[in-house]
Amino acid sequence: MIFFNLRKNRKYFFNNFPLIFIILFAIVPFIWFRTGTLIGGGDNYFLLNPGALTNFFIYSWNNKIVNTGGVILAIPNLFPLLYFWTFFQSLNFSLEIIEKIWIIFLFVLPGITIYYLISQIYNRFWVKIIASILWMINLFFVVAGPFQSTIKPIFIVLPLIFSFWVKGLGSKGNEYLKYAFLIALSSLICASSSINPPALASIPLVLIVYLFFYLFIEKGNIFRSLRFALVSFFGYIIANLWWIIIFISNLFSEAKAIKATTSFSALGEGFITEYFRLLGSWGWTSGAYSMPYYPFARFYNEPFLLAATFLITILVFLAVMLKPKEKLVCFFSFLALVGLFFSKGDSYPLGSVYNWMYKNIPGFWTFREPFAKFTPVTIFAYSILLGISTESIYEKIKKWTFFVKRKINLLPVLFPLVIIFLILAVSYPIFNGEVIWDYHNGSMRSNYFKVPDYWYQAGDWLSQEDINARVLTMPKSGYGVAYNWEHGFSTADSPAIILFKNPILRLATVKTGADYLVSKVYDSVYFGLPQSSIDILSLLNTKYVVQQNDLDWRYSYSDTLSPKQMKDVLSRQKDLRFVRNFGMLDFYQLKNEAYLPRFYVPETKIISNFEKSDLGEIFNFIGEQKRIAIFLTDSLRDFSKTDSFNNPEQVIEIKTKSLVLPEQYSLMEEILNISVPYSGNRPGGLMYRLGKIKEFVDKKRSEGNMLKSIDKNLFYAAKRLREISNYGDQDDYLLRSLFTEFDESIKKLYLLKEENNGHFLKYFKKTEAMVYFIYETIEKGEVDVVSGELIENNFSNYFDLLSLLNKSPEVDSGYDFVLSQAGTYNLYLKSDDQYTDYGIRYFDSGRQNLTLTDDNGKNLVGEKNKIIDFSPNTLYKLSFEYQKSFNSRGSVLIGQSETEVIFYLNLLPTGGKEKKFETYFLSPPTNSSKDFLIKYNIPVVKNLKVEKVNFSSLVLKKIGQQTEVFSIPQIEFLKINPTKYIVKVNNADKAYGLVFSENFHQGWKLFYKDFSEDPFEKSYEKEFTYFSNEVKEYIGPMKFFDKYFFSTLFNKPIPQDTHLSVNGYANYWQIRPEDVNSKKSYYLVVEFVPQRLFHLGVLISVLGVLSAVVYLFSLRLKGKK
Amino acid sequence: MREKLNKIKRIIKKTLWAKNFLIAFSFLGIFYNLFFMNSFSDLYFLFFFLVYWGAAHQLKQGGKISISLAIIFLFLIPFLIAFESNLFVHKVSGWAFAFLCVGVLEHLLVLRRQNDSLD
Repeated sequence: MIFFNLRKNRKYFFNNFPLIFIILFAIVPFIWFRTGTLIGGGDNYFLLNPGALTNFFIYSWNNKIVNTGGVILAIPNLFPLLYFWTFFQSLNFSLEIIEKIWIIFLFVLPGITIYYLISQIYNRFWVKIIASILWMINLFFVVAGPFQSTIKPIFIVLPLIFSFWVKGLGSKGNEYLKYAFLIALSSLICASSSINPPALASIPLVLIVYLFFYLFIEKGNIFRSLRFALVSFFGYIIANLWWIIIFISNLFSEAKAIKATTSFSALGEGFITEYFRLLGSWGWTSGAYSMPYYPFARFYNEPFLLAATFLITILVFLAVMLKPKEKLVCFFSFLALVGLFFSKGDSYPLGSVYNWMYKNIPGFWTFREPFAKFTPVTIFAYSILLGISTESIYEKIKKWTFFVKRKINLLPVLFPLVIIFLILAVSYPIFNGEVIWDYHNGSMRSNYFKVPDYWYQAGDWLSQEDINARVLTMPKSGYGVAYNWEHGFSTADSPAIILFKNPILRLATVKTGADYLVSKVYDSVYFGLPQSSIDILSLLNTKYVVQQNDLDWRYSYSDTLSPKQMKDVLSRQKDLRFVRNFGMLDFYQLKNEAYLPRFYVPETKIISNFEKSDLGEIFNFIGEQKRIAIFLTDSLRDFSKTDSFNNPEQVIEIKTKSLVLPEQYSLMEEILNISVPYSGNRPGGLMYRLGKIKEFVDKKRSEGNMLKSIDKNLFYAAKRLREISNYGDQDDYLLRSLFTEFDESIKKLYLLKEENNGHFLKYFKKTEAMVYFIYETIEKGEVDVVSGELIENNFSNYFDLLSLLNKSPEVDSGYDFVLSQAGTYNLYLKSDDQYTDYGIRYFDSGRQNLTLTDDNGKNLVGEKNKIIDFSPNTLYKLSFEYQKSFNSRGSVLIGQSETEVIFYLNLLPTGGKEKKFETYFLSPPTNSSKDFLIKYNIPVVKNLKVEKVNFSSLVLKKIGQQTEVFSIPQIEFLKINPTKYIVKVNNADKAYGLVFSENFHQGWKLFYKDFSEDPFEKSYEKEFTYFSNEVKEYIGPMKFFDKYFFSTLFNKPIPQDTHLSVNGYANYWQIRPEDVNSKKSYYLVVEFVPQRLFHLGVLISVLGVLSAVVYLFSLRLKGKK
Repeated sequence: MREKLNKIKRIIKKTLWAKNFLIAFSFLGIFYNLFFMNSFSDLYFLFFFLVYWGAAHQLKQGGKISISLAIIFLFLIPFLIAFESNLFVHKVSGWAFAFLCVGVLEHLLVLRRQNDSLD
């Protein structure tokens, strides 16, 4: 057949020679491969074995990547990346071969797709070759690396989608549907890249720019174009719904956490000079330890590469000179400039425009590394323009009379060949293998790596022992650590995540409560891993601790311990026992009595206002109890909704309130800050009336904001004073108006106090200062007022009201706390990290304000008002009763003399009555030989008292009598998959609590079920028992579909008001008999409900993709007919 | 009086919008930026970019001239880098970018006009 059609085949071969030439480039990656090693590391550490993650990414709850489970944005990784590995692994391909195929695909497919694009829009021989080569081999790839799995699929897809976009816009009739479906299907190739949405930005950017070009330059039909764009968009959404549906639901919570926790940004590195030649990565000229990130970067400023890189740029933009009337040339030139503008970020020129967008456009902050996100746009345009320039110059050279006369046809070919040589030469690190990092530089190890066998052996052993057991990795290590493997290995995260099937706990950026607790455990290792840290590990449901002796601890944190030190620390723990060693890995197990299983019913519940950072301290007050549930402040509000807990024992930690010390609050200073506004309008005049209308509107506008409203009242009160001063006030109109402002502002102060507003104190001070200032101004006779009685009565009232406010706990000092239960509490005071017993006291429930004095409240005022036993840096309470009239001055000070004062306060008038005054002050930090005295200049002072006040941390532990015996129900549980557990409850005759040690999430719901058959039967391979058989855990294989897949679909969950956060991170439900039909034995299904969205998304996507494929095939069949 | 004022206005407008004036003014601005300014100013850049665009827009071959200027500037860059004149080279590349923008936009406008005439 071939022989018969030799001529035809020859023609076919020559027509498609460029494609064959491009496919031949597939041999280039073979330069990089080395037998027996994989390529990866750093951010691409998952190349250890991406297929290992597939079974975890098909769930919306991921307990592989997130400590104790959580939602992630990485679900798009499933296809094609993870399934690519899974598919070839199912065919028994080795990891090495699979990775080679992947890298070859990533390298060659972009060349093939751009070849297809050009053959559709500008079918010229040299354009196809040059564009394909530059699209495959360029400086961006040299920087990104050949195994970068996020950006590279975009290089495959962009030309495909663009060609369908161009054809779709120009299509007639219903043909646009075909192209819209093709766009939707093509988008699946880069679905993995969606884990970093900004990386995808280049595709819509190119399409939108072309749409505008088509509409405004080519004058395309707007309606048809928008219809096509809309259908394509919906097609994309449907084909990708399997990840979009979960991604969007997780995006808002995760984006906030990412924005809050990630500080990296490379908005504009360098200048546009480098971006012109496709350089400009933040790491291009920087480095770490003793080496640059790109050792070859220095050569790019040497004459040859400098000239070559800019020659390519010049040729690119020459296209618009050579083919000025070619629409595509104009479009791609414009696109290149758009790409350059965005990829340079906030660099000169016009960097402020990018900066404005970065700060003001919602979501644009994600483009914090614009070079990586927008350079594909530039390269896309560069590739096609360079091809067109080369072809055009080649055509011109061919027509030179010198060549035509001598019939020289081959010599002009030299020009495009030289261009190809330049492209290849510029990207020379791709050809000499330097593109793959192969140095030993601090924690930066070779990208070639070989996983030691003991890692695989350890992984197998762990999964055989207990595949659901959580494993904590040691020593403390985080982003960018190195492993001393045969070739070394640098990684952004723990390799245990990939190499072990078990859930891993490791140091991660703190996003969840568990992340925080884990980080606290790591921080404590340096201090010998105290027992409280082991207790936290127990709360975290940790079963094993693996000590990685092959981790290069020298390049981790400053408090990371060496293997020997780690061995000392770990072997000293009474609750840990060494169980196994695999090569450089040592495994320790939490003893059964110290271990808390994934589900348990707590014996003791602890309500505490301890901060999460001090969670470990709670263990100081609970003795040997392990089966506990700790409710921290953040869940206290919800806690009040639950039924009373059985056998509750409360431990409440009360920290000292931040004390309001008089030296921090000087009334005089506040008064000095007052400025009285100008008033130029005589009261009663037209302008004054207009001004009053403006005031009215002004106050009305500030009504929604209490603080602003107080400011307005004080401002207008001061204005009234100015008016009285300027124009007098014969009929007390202005004075009454002034008092109205004070009445309103004090009323608002009371409201501020009631709502516990954090700004209360600031506004209290402002108001008090203004009242005092106006009172003084009037008293001094600086303004002319008629009604003395009115003044006395009103100011007396204000001082009373302010004094009442002043006695509130917010302004006052002491331990301020809320108790949910009345009862007897044991008090402990913390000093030098030790808690000392301070005796027993009875408290009512509700808000408490407590002052603890030292020396049983001994009065330290000695002879001549001298303070005895005055110690440095100590808190004292000063109290006395006094009387002060309106027109007299009065103050109190404490100091060594009139000039060396440590405390000074003006006293307010008491309105003819005796009043009690209390305040606190802090003594100076250093000792002094001179005595400290109390001085005052008011006639009546009684009961002058100075007491030493304790301000250490206070802990109150409720002493409760167990009123009845609480029989703990027995539970059995089985993990179906990360989003579903079945729990069997036996002998539950009363309300009880259930702790589920996965990160707290509202998506976790509890369903009551009464299965007719035992769901555990034949579903498990192993079982573990805890607490004398009270808890039984079954271990079975993970199942995506099981026979109970739809079992909860139409069931109502147990009310979520009892779903609380416990132990600083986990889930807790209080289960009441009425929630379970008052049964004693039953089943509960614990389900992460958002997984249903994933199922729905997958279903719609599969149906959508199948419909599109069927439609396209039917079109093809019709076409053939 | 009013007529006189209008006349003066017209003269000023004509002078300012005169291509020679705009070209001279924009080149003066670019020249000053390249050789005398020791800092990067986006506002200055934007102003003279717009003035230059105004000038190029009035020229028949405005697009071509701009691209030619851009290519000359791009050609100069490697030499300037070789001589390590950092500040100057970045300003040159900034203006190369500006000339490219003007050149390409002018070509797009020409294309649009051609499409209009075809309609």
